[in-house]
Amino acid sequence: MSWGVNWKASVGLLGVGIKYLAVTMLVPLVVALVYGEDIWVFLVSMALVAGVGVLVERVDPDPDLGPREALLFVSLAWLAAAAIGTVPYLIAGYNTASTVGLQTGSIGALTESVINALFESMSGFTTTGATVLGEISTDRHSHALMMWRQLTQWLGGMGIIVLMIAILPEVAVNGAQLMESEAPGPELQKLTPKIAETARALWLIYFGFTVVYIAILYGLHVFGMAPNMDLYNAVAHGFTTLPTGGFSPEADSIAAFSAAVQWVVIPFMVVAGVNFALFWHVLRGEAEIMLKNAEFRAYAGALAVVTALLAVLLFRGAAPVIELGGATQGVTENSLRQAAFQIGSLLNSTGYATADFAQWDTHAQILLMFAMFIGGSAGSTGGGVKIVRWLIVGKAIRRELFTSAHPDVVQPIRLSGSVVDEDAIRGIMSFTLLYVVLFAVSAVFLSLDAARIGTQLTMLESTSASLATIGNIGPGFGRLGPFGSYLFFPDTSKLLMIFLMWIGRLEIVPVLAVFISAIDAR
Amino acid sequence: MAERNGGRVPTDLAVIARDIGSLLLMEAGLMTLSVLVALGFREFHAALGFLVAGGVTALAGGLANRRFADAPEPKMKHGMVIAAGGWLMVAVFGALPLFFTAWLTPPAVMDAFVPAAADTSSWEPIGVGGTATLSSLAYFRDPLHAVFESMSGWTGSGLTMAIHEPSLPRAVQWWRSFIQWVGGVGVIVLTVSILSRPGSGSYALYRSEAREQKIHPSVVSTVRTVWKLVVGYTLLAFATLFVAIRASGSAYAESLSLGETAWQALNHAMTGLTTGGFSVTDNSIATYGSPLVEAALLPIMILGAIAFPVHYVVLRDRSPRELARDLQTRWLFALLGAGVVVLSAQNVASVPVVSGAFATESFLSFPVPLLDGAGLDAVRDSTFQWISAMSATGFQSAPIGDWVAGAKVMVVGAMVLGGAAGSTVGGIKIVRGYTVARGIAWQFSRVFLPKSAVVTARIGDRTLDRETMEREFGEAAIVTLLWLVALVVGSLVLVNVAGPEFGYADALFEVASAQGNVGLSSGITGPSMSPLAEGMFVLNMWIGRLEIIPVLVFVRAVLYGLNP
Repeated sequence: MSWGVNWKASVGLLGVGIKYLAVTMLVPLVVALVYGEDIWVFLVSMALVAGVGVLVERVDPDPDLGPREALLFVSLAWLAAAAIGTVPYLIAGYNTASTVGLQTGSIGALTESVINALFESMSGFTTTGATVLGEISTDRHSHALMMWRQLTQWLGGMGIIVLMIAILPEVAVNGAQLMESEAPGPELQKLTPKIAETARALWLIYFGFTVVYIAILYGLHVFGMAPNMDLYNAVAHGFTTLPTGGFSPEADSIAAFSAAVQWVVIPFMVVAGVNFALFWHVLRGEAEIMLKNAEFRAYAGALAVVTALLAVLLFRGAAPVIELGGATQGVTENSLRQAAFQIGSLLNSTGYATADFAQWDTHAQILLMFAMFIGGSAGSTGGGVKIVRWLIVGKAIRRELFTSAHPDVVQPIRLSGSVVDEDAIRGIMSFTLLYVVLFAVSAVFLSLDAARIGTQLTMLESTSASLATIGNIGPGFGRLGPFGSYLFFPDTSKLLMIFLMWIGRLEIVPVLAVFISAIDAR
Repeated sequence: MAERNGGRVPTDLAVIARDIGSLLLMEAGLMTLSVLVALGFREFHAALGFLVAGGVTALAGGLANRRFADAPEPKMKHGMVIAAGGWLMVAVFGALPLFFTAWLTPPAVMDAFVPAAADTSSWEPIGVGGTATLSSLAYFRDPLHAVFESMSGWTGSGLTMAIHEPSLPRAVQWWRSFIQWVGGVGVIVLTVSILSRPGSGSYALYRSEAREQKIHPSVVSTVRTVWKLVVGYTLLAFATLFVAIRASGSAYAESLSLGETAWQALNHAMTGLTTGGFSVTDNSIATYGSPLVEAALLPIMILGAIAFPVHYVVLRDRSPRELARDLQTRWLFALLGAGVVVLSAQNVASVPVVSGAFATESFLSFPVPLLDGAGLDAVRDSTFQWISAMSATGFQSAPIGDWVAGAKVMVVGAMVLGGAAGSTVGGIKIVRGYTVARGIAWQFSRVFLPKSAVVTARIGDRTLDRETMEREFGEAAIVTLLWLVALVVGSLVLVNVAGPEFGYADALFEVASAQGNVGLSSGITGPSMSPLAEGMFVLNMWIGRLEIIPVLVFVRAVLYGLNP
């Protein structure tokens, strides 16, 4: 059966990627050496993954990708990355009390542990930040394993395909097609004539920001303004801020650090939600391109307005005084900081927290939920619907009102001065509708599935679980709050959420296009 | 004084004001007609109320109509604004009979409307000018309540401020049913003649007139055809219901006189066929507690959910096969069937969790395998409520507020989708849902084709070229998106102002019900709800009835005028 696609080519290329993924495990290996932890976990993982990579590569040693194969490859690549990412979790926690370690006691325990590990790994690579780890601490899990968890987010952030295009010549041949399928947002901006150079530029900017960020965090520690932000934590958070990830090796997320650290994290989270291509223009001295960009302006505006609203709510007492976060009622600095941090974290899908917003009042939570719907910019590392899509949907609605009364007038839609392609507009409509429908249907499924095992979800819990996974955000409300866990969901729900994170990161299109063209081809 | 059609009154405004004026004149006629009903039942205060309301409405309508009498014929570009503005004005003026009757009727007379046989121990007394009455008529002394009731009537929603309908004067009961019935005809005319333009998803009764620039001839011929159908069906529904109520044998039905039975059958026939949902009994259809009456109502509601152009063709050609040939009707039956099964399964499964939502005794005299009494009741309620929700009727036979969140959310799905375009249902309509789904699949299947490839898509028996498909998809997608946005925003507002005993599922349910012109209630709607939410519901019902876009065009026209 052909399915209209040469799947061997896609799978063969996958092998190359898997092989290189083994190399990235050097990072946790080094951490294990430094902390004197068990290095065998990562040595065995590396050998296993490299072996799988070599084997898979032999399916088609000289892959030749057409457009269909490229889409299939991109879809599979994220699945494969997530699957490979489970190896260290499974091995490190083998038959221990770890929720993500391989359990061989019974079939039920086995499937549950594998699904948990896959959930954690998918949540990592897709930079979601939802966790089933149970107890989050470096005492419970090794420093090395926790660093691997952080690293998966950093690798996934700018896109594993973009990374492959940047460094692997055999992938770069079909780079444009691949990048188009992976890039967050409706259209890809080519910065340079050669796609590999564009990919390299994007990764360099990403890398640069990460390095500067780690240096600042560690600098704060050195100068005594951040006692808990040691080198390990600086690197660990460096790995999850720029990719809008949200994992933290600290159970209290960023609430474990001083106000100074929190103020530093905010601008870097904001940066992570900006289209990285715009930074490339800024570096070339064309700052006005960024300032005139409609999406950037909308992003900045949305951040400012929602933050101000939330700060007012907090100042007037929307948050109960709890251990973490401190009092906000009547406290200007803390109200502003908590508002800016939570909005900076949720609007562009990072998922860090400095306070347990699951305990705030309904008004504040609904505002946060609203922010979660917006999403980051196209070309950023953020998830969600993306601001540019909302902009275009809004403009299309306005045009529809006009053409309803004047059916003969042709009126193109412009964004930042240039006309938007009609095909792209319809694509955006389809995407937004599919997104909303998937979100709603999944929320219903989650609620029914939980009821099946005797757990009643509140409406806020089921909707936020669905939104937080399809939008790659991470924390939700209720038991899924920033310091909560997705562990209590039944396996079927976790599988659904793994699927949601996957198609959410790929923005639905490649996955569906592959399915539908396969059906058509038969 | 401004000069006619020049200077300070722009032509467009004159055209619109003239046409809305004639709508109000017609409404004044309906009010005057209702005076006869009031006189017939010897309700003289109500008669006076209707007379005054009719006079005021005629005055306002006549003024607008006469003053701009020589404005030019309306064009398509005016159609939407006239429809949106007209619906709003008709609803506002339609509140006057309720309002005036409530103020003109002395409390002592109001008390007389409360049926002697009714158990009023749980009724809340309403304060009126120093004394109190049990008659729900007193609620309409609040102008917001009156406007809500009128908008709910004219849009065929069925949410009500009159908690105990039997305690209303007959004239007011009649007015509520009557405006739903006339509003039902109005919405069919609206969708098949005014909103029917290329790409709108709704289709024309007469193809040749679909693109006509002048709207009057098209509207008039549509009204003539639809009128006959609606009157015929209503008589049929009346006869069916009359027999069903007489034959039901329940204690309540036994207690009714022949005249009372006829009155209830008439009102429920009018509001059931036009999928409105106002009732003259205290607990809607649950009052009868009769499977027979519920069964009799099912086909009536389904009739109302099928597009009237399809009814027209079926009756003209005497060929029921046309029903199966119509895409929307096929899907309507498929969705009704599938929904009943799924909702029943959900409710049967939830019987142990929700105590009291379902009766424990079987309504059948013989045992049914697998289902006990409560399970059977769950299936019966699910069937009736699903069809009531999807057809946007809103007759209630079960305490939906007590159902589990999952069941409520399913019903929300039915209320958001609705039945066939071209009928009196609410929601985004089947044809739109289908176009959106088809369009999305179509886009993905084209991913690998070059842009110049010739592609066509099929919707029902029409083959659409690329451009038409894109246009239809764009329109359907925008309406659907706006619908969902309004739903989410509305429910977020409502969950904040409704009492703490209502969860988010209840709020979502209630907004979906108002916006989909359904009328089912989870218990939030009532005279004691927050005025903010009540005002919002008036808006929801209005935009829902007009499928949002015309209202937005109306608002745009108010702000910027009609010219490009």
